[in-house]
Amino acid sequence: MILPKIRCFTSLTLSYLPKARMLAESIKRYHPDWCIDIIFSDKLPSKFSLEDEPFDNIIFPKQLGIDNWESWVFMHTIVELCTAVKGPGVKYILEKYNPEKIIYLDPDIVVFNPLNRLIELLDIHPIILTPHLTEPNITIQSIIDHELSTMQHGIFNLGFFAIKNEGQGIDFANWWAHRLYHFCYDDKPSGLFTDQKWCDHVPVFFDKSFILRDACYNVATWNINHRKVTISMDGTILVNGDPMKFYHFTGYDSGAGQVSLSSYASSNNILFEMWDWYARKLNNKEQEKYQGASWHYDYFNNGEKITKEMRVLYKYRKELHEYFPNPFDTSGTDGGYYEWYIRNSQV
Amino acid sequence: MNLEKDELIKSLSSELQTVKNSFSYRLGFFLTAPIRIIIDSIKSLNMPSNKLWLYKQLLIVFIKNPWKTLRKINLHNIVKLNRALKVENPIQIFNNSARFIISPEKNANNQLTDFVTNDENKSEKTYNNDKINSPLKHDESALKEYFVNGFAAVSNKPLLLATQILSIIESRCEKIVIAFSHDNYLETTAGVQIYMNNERDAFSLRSVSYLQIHPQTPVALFALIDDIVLNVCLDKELICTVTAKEFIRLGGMLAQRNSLECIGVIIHHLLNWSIQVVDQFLEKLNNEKIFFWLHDYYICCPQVTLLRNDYEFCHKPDLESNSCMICLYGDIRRSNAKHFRLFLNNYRFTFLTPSKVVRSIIVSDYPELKDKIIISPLLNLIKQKNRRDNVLKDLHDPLYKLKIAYLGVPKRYKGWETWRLFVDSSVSDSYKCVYLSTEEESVPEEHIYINTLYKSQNSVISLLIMHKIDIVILWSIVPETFSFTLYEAIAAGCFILTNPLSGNIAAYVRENSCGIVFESENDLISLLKEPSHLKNILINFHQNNISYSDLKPNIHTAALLFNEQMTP
Repeated sequence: MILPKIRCFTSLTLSYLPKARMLAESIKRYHPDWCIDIIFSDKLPSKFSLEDEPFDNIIFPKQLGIDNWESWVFMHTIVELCTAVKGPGVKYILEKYNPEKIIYLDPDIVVFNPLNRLIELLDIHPIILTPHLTEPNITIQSIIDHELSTMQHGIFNLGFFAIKNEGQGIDFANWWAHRLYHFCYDDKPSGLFTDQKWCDHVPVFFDKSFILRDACYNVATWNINHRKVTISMDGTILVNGDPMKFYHFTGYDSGAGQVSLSSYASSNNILFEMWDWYARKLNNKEQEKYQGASWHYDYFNNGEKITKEMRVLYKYRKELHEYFPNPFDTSGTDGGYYEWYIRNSQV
Repeated sequence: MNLEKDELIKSLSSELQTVKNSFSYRLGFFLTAPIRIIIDSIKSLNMPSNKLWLYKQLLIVFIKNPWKTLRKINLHNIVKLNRALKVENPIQIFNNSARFIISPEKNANNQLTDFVTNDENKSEKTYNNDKINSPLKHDESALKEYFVNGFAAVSNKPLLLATQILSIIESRCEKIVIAFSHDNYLETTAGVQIYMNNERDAFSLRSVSYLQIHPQTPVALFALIDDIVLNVCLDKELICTVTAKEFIRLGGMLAQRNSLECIGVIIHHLLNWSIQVVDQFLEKLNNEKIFFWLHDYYICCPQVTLLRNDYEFCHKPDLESNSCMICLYGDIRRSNAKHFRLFLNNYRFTFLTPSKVVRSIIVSDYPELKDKIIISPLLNLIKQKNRRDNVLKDLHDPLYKLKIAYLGVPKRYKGWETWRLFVDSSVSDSYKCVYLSTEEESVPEEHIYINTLYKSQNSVISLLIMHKIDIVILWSIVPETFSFTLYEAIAAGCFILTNPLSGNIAAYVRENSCGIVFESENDLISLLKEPSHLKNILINFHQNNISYSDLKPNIHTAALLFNEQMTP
């Protein structure tokens, strides 16, 4: 069997399944020969059939070669886990399938035009990242909203990265996977923001990395005030005059995306048309059914909800990792970590 | 009690409005039309609260699950239910539904005249009213069943069988021409409908009756034939409704009739139609000449004005383009295209279109039609002495302020935003600005209301002349296929200001030097800032150009069917 040379992957839980479907269909539209992997950090819904989905392959956290994976999963919130698995995920894909190139795209991204130039760029630069911002902001509010926020969350948006399976591409995957295994948390006081803040080091650590400043990639509300979106006579969506490659519908579920759009692009009807379209299409992909679906790893297996405090305590008390290697499990005689926590928290 | 009911109606209206909004995203405007009708009518309903509640529940179930239920229930049944529920007495509903089981044997031809008199009491006597005393009729379950099964034909007009319709036609005429269009042309005053009225009169002069058919409610282009109901107009009267199946039967009967000759078929518009109905009807006919009018871009896109998401002119891009992908109409356009291509290749149509602009846009999608489309303007301008006297004297008066008008509906795609930009700025201080429309819009400038009851081309021309309108801004941002408004303005001797996107307006202005085609809005405003320069341009225009003063319908179909020479 000939394996595809280019693999594209995303990371999600059940509530993002409709979005991942949108992403995968948009990739297949322009690159039907690419293989699409999803790292699924949740329990699959009943009646789920991969054959009916636009994905080629599903990878679960337990396949990623993580020691004591349940213990590791338990230490993360939903956002932390979905970002943390990207590191071991990219390593897993490189090792198992040996593709020439790998592209990661967040599930709330949609590809609007072919990504051929990106693929060509990977022949020169084995690591490609896109910054949140490519130009300075002007107003105080936009500086607060965008520049200060970026300083907290990371210069690069890790909704996208691309690597080539050679040299520094592999070095980056190994380095990042290691860091994310240990330190992929939303802990801004400690200088951490999931997988993203780590990549501020990339241009320094990896001299062959490339910062893709092209305005047509990773267009999102955080940079829309500097990007002019139009539609050409042939119907192509353009950014500053060139075909838009992919758009990041960030903040869709929370509504923050629409608010930001209204603040920074209120006069551009095309962007609102795109958001309306996204909403319509998501509805056709069972958004109503899965939006807000509960996360499997948010519960002990006795059905009790796991609180943030339970996760944090488990994370910092290393002896608990050995004592409760599967902290979700409450079936043992001692009732597992759950009973232990309840007992001790009452004390 | 009344207060409670008011509150209920208010909440139902707003709930339905919300549901309709989400519904419209899925289906597009033409399929939401019945829902809009209901929302409007619910406010004026006078019925008990429990019935209103049921009404709302049924509608919401339907609206929220349109695709699931569309197969079973056609949208026209919603409208039927609406009409039925408006009738306070449930017995009345079932009286109406009883019409559906009318037995043709029981109704002799002499009784059919009662049918078409629109005398409800009189006509009901002739029907089989067995169901009137049915135990089903008073309770909610009956109403639900009525909705779900939805076959009871409740209409202001009777639902007739093919044989009955044939009898009516034969009792009135010996020759007919059959016209297909999207709505009741007798009730609307838009361009196509005005043309059809003129066309009917032209055939009438040649002793041919005009049988016009339109869907009772909109259906998708590829909707199944079951459940579709059509309205039938004969000459100036809506005579009855007919199921699509019966209508197709009528086609077969017409082909075999010696006493009644169908001299031709004119397809004006297939919007709201199921193409299967038209296809199967045409198959039954003999070799009648069939005209296919391309009044707009419907065979290219269900958004007939080519506005992406009802907002911006899309330039009709490739079906796979980003633009079509994000457009409300993209998916329907894609699926319609296949049906149209098959249908158009299936018959030897004579294609007609009102302008070169439409032809060139349509041919870009259907190159096979390149040499088959006849250009036939809907109106001809009659050259006469300009009826507006002293125009040059006015223009030479240094104190005379030019009168500039916006003519037509206040829609963005018709250039309303550009008009407002001009009128609401200080640039307009040098002019007298006038807004002429059939819409009752509140505007700061002078508003001349065109009463739709009396609207005709000539009355609009008279208004323009009477109010001494010098310039008309026709700033459509979509390619107008013909533009009655343009012809009215030209006939009134007005100078036209437009832009290159305006289709036949720009084309006509360029060809006949009767105005200016500006490259941009900025260019328009720049010239308007110089009223004296504009006056000189108008003086030159009136000194050197032919004046028109009247319009005459150009009924090409009648001329072609009777092998007559067209007047230039």
